Amino acid sequence: MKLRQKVGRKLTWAEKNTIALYAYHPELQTVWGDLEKDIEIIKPKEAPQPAKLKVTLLPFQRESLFWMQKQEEGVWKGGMLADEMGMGKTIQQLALLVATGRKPNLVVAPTVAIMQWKNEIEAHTEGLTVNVFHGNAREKSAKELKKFDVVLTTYAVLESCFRKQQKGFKRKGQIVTETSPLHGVHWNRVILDEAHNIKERTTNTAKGAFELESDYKWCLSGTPLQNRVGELYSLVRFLGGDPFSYYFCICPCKSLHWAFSDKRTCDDCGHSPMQHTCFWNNEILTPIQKHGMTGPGQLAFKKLKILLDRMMLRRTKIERADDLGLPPRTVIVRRDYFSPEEKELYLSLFSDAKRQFSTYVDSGTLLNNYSNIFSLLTRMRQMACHPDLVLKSKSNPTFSGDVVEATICRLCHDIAEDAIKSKCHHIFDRECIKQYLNTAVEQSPACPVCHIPISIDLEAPALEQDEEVVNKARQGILGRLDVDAWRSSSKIEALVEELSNLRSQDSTVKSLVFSQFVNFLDLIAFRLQRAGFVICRLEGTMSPQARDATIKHFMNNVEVTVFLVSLKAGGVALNLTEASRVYLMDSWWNPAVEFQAMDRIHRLGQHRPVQAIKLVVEDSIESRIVQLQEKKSAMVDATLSRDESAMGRLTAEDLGCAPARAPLI
Amino acid sequence: MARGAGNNVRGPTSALTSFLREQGINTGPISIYNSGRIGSINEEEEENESAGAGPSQGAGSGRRGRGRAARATLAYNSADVESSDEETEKPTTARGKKRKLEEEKAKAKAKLAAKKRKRVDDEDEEYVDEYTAPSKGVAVASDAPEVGSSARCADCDKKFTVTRYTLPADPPPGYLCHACAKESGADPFKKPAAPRRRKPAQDKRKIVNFDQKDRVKTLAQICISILGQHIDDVEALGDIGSRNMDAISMILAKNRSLTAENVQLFYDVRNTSLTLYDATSLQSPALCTLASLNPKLERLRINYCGRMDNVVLEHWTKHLTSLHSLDLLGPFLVRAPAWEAFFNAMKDRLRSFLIVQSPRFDTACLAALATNCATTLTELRLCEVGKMEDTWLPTISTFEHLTFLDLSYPATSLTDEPVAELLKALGASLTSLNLSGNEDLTDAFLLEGVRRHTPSLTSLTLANLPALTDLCVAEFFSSYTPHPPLQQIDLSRSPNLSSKSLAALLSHSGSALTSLSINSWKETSNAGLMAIPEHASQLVKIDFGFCREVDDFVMKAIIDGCPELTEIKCFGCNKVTTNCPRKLGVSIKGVEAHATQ
Repeated sequence: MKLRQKVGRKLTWAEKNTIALYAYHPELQTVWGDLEKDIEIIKPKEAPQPAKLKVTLLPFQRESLFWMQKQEEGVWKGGMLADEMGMGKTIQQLALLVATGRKPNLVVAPTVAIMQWKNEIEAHTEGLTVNVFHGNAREKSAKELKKFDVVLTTYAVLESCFRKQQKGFKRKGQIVTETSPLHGVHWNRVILDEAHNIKERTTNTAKGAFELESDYKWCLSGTPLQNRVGELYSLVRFLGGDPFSYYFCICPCKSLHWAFSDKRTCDDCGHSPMQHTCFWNNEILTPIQKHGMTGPGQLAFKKLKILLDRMMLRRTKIERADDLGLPPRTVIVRRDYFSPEEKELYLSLFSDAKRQFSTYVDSGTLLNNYSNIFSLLTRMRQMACHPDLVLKSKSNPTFSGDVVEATICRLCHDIAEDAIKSKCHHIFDRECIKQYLNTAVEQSPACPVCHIPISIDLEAPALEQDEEVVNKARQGILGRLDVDAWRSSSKIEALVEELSNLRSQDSTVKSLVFSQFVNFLDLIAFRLQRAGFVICRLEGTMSPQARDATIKHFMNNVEVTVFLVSLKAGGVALNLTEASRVYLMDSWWNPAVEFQAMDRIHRLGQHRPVQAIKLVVEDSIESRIVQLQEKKSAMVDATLSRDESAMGRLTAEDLGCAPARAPLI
Repeated sequence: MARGAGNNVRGPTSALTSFLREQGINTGPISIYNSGRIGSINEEEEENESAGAGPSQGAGSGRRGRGRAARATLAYNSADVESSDEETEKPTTARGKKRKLEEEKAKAKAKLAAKKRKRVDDEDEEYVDEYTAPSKGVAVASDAPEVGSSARCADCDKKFTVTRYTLPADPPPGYLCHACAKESGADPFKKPAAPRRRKPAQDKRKIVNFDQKDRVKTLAQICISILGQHIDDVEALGDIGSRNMDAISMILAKNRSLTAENVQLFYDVRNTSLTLYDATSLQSPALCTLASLNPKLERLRINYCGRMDNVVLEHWTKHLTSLHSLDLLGPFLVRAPAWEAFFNAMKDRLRSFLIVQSPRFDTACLAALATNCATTLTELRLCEVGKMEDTWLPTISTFEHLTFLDLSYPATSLTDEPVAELLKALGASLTSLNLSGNEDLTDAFLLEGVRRHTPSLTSLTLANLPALTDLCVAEFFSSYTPHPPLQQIDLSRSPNLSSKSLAALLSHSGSALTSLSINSWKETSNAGLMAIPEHASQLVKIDFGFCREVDDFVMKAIIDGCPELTEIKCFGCNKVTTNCPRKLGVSIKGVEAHATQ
């Protein structure tokens, strides 16, 4: 009440909350000050090279090893290693693993990365036993898991184990629960690789991660923050930061969970939800969202910084350029224009979308139709890539009408005749695959698509009669096109031009091509193969083994110059330093995703000049997206770097909310 | 409307419809509505139509069709028609999708059944009454009740009129009325989709590959490529000529197989010049050895020297005592002090200094280069140098003997006035100028700088300057008169330029032009492009990618009009077809319909 007299106005809800919190939890009053006073920022010094690690650590990596060891002794018992991508976070963690040498340890990583973890552990360390906890044949008992030094698993498996334990699953009409072996082990250390996977605190993945028991906890991420400051909460919560991730009530009740099983009263103290406050939201998130960089917002930023300085270690490539010996990375935006025909198509789609949009605005239902608007925008982005993505789409018959899908041979890209299917679900002409197998020199030839050893019954009946089987194998957009009369698009031709110019150089330059539309990758693959490029592809549906085989195929064969990767499947955690070019075929709302993609090649081990080329169609929605991306990057800089000036470039709105409200108007 | 009720008489398909079908025009949309008419239209009207006289029907098939549809509602339960409308207009929802899936399955089954039936039909081909036969393309089972008769629905047991769209019940016995057919998910109006077939092999055998260079390899080429494969045993071979040596070097680079062991092949104490095309796998010690084993080197060119660091450059400085030309791609690890030391040692010796990509090359390095080599340097390339800015230009302008200058793709663009000043100082001797990728350069530098001060230029590369305008570039070329024609012009990726610039360019430089790139001059007119061969018959290489007006005729004119031509690039020219002309020795790159086999 004193405060009220002091400021001479009514108190805001947040201020009232704060006062109430301090009244019932006096320890919170001084928490930031104590934090600043009691816990010192660990000044990284160079730790000695661990004996069991076969690779020589760089100076900054030895510093982080020291920091991590100290951090495990401190209050957090872990922390966040947020070095930029490609600085060897994996190696640094391995160094920590072998330096301390206790077991068992759990590594949770994206599906693409677990084989890479396995390979790196085998290549760089001695005497660590590894278990890959993935696939149907995975270990069932927690007891067995305990025996390994390192257990590797994926976020998807973690989520499903957790879900099966908590909610159960249906088997023969009954709900069965299954105890999760991952949650049954008390781990020595849990490491979340690419920890931004748990950025949404309400997802099962995040909850599954919170429930893991361990002595030490680590988050690795090059982009701990992608859209909003709120995303950091999950990471802090995982690390168990007391009191930052707790909910507080106006009584001594304090809980990690929002537990209101009867939806009315708290399970612990019986007070209503309104009496409870999330300390993180109250202290950091809300002020930043409401005020941006002024007043309470600035204070909140300061608090956040105090916390992060003590919890997180982040080095950028520019800071450590001399240690890393990395080439500079140039990002080039290549701007092209529609051909007259494409332009016409695009404009008709655009005016259509615009009309629909203003209808929503007029009737005041804009927010109710958010997903509709999103799909309108997606369609426009697809149109900028290739008209067929809209016109031959399976999912919006309003544009495509009834398209007939034919079976396509993955070798000759023609409509399959006498088609048979391999065990890995790829369809070939009987003749094509016979020839392929006959000319193969290896003992067990690899599948031409996914590069794992192929297994196919050459005498199997042709597929045509059995529609079910055909439907199971993904045909992709090529099956819906008339391959002979097919026309390319400006964007695809721009890519072909770029790649052809590279091919005519005196040395081999390998490239990665990213797109988020799998159908677009189909078209690109078709066009590139017709132009004589040897390519390989990484698709979201591949098993870790197939991915590994494909990546090796690209890295080890000099004639394979182009690697098509779907942005979602391969944007993270891959190491593809044989390539030195990245082509980003379509822009994503969130620039961090693109930086992730570029950093597949801009990392330790790269010795060629690196270029990332964004292909943008100038007279389309894409140029707007690029503008939007620049704003987002500014926000990330503001939070994570020491550069205060970046803050000035932002408005409160930028900090609060994700995609553009209305990029159409 | 009254006349439509309760009459079962049908006529033959109208003359218009059968005419259209002969012409290959689909009457699909109309025939949907026609379905209603079988039950509803009387003879009188049919006669009107076949005579083509009915004034009310002169308005065209679309409107007529709609009229029919309206009438059809009388024959059917009105609810049916409504539901059919709904189905065509409803946007896909999740539920809709599921339904669609089911529908598709049912369709597929129906299709299969229809196929079988058709085969039976084909076998006993007999005379069918033209007037009662179902129209072609719609398969009706041979044992189906006659069209127009009435039957009982197998499902709801209602009486209904059999039409040519009536579907059999599934499971088989009996037939369904329209309402039940709809409900079962099948679309009675759907035409069986023709299964897509692959083209006959004969069509595929068309030769479409135009890049006919190296079709038959010479013996030397074959030997070299085999050599490339077995490069690790190369010591046994002894002497190889220098030209072939270069070819081997290229093949190794392409294979990424140049290593510290086999690179020895290219070393010789008597070497005065050495080129390595991909030195990525040569580590710092290997590059030092290079200097020790080739002490007489005068010219050194290394591409992709990503492992080269200060130590290497220091070593070279000491050991390569006669070096005067250095060409490096990607020496990004070499730091400023090493460059300075190098320049100090190269005092009054360095003639050519060409580097691409260095984020560490700074003002101090440039100053060292200027104080030591300003009088000797004739060729300078500072491409993709991160720290380049306008303030560097006064220093650069002290290199008074420069003939070759390349300041392309800096991290921050240079601007008009300083560049014009630079050209004022250096322009007199320049023969080759490259300022690509300086996005802030505008017309002013072209008119005030290049036009005024560069009398002996033969090669001009100004790619990626989006601020240039058509009028000014045209003015530049038309007023560049005392200057002899240029041989190489690259003004690609400046989307504002078009016909006017091209016309002026051709009339100024056409007679001597050997290489021309006008990539992305998207608006350039067809006539403008046709003029290229008239003016520039000496062309060897041309790139008109993304000039949308390029077509087969332009290609023909160029190929016929320029006898020296070896390469055409036409990426993104979507009017060029597979029929475009071809000629031995001319490789055409970028025709989208082309395949390499």
